[in-house]
Amino acid sequence: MLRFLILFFLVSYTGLVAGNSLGDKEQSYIVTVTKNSTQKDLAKEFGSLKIKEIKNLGNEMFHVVFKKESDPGLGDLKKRFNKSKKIKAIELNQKYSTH
Amino acid sequence: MMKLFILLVILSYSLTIFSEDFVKGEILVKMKSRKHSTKIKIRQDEDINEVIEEFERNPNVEYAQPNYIYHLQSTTPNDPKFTESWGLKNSAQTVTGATYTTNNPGTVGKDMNLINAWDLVTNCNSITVAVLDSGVNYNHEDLSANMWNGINCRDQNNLFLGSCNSGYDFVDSDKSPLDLNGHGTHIAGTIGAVGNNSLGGVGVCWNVKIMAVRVANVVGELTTASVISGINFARYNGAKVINMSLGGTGSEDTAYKTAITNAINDGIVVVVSAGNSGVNNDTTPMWPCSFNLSGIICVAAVDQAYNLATFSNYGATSVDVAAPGTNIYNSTNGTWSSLQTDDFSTGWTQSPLANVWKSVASGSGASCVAPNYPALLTLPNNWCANGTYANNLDQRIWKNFGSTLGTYDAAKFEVDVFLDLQKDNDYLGIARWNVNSEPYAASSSALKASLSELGTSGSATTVEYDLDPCKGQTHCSIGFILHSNASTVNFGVALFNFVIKGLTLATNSYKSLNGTSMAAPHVAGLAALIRSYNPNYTVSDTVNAIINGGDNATSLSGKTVSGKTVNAYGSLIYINAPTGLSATVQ
Repeated sequence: MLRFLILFFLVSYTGLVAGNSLGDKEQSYIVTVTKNSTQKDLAKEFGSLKIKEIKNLGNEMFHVVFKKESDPGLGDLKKRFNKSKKIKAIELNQKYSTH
Repeated sequence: MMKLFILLVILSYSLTIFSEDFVKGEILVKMKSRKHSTKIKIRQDEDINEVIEEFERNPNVEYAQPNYIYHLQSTTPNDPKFTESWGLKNSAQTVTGATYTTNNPGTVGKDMNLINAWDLVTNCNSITVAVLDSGVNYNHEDLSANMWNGINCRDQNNLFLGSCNSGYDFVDSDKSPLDLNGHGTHIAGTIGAVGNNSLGGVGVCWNVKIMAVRVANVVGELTTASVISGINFARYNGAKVINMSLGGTGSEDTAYKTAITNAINDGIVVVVSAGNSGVNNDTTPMWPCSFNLSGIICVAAVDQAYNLATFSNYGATSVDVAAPGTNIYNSTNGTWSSLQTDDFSTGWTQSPLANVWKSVASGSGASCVAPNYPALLTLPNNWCANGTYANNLDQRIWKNFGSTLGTYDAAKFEVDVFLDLQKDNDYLGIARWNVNSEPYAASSSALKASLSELGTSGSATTVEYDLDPCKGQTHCSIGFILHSNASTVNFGVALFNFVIKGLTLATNSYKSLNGTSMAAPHVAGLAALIRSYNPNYTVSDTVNAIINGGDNATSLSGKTVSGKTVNAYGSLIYINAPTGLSATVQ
């Protein structure tokens, strides 16, 4: 378990170059929730999906990273939460760069 | 209507002026019985003083005087590097250390007309400008006095954080947004390097509060998540202007757009850069420039003769104005030193196949690693021979560079890349690991990066990669992977000019840079200047003044919404129609 954790930590520090990503784009999302919904509410909505990290970005927006084995992909996530009363929108966490 | 007219006249005349000379053959005479003075022509051969004395002897005359000629003052700062700042005052000077060779020197007077604007206002100290970028070297000698103090700092959720060092770091999640790239410090300097302090350069604002919001890492990458957090941080900490010299060409990011909309609704002017690909943002959107929001000002770059810079993106409906963006000289964060170069000739291990990546001596003396074809580097596409790479490759190459980075404030490597890959299917990946092993062994596929579209047009792209996690480690393994699927292959990949660099922060570094990134902060500084001069101006008042006060530029016709370059003096004296008033015709 410890080895796994160390490996996981190292992996998470293995960075990326700017550009269109093929492999990573399914793992990091921006989720907009309805007003007054909390991080706890959001975690409940995800049910059995394993979450690596949730960060509150302010203004009812959260950055959500699923564990790779649990990431259903953007299309599936949108379908799942189409009728959610807590989740307003799910989008990819896109990459930008300085000019 | 009359009142408005009088107000306009009064405002037009409320400028700081001084007399120097008078109009020959004219005097002004004010009769006691009249409200205004009258201009009187006298003969050229008459002595003006004698004529005045004669009028003043008349008991019905209140006063008589020459018709003085007034000039705007020329407020010039004493900062030694001001003479390099052609965008602030263009005297056709040659910018030293310039890398944009066209029109250096440029044309006298092609500048933001700040000399006249500074007669009206130099101090923007009531305005906080948030620089959402790679951070700011807030200890820099020419910036520290103008940094936001960060006392009573609030986070992106408007929760109390305590004291922050001039802003917040959303990359490392701490209160010290030091710039480990250099980009953000340069932008901060253009907005508000301390003016008239006999030191370094000068900003558009001589005094201002610069809020450092670090959203981009060592090599200038950022995500929706970091930039949204940064925008909310700026909102909750009182920013009146946000500068974002950044962008991306992905899909329209509604969360990002919402965050900017909220900022605008809170009274923040948002200034963004158009991008440096030389393309039309109307047809190839660059976000956030292409967001259709009235409170965003998207800025293109012009050179020293006010021609659109060759690299600058443009857009008749998406890019609003242009500002100086070539050979811009200002503060930077320190110095990047080359620590180690590599020509791919020795020490690289590859798997699973042998000898797929080949070290190839090029005709120009560079080296390249190219899959399959050992031959001379031939540009633009067929760089490694006449042929293409194989299908179904997952070919890795890596080398351990050991630890050479411990004493540096930041580290990265750069490599020049030519790519011709099957878009969205085949890709070049890059990885690093602080273990003496093939770095992709540690990486899940989720962390592979794709660069399938770089460098296919005849010029190499320099790719930068953050090596910070290698700092203080014994090993630093760097690797590349060429991945191809089962169909369609192209010419492949060439890598050359590999170099590892270390950053030493310094408080007295300056640099000349090119980019729409450099143009945007000229406008952000102007927004602060306008809002300082007109404290009641709304976002739309400020945007109107920036756009309507500008100068028409032939090179921008059809290229931007306004076709104008910014003119600080023109914007300051541009009088917005009062908002929120109604009039009844009687």
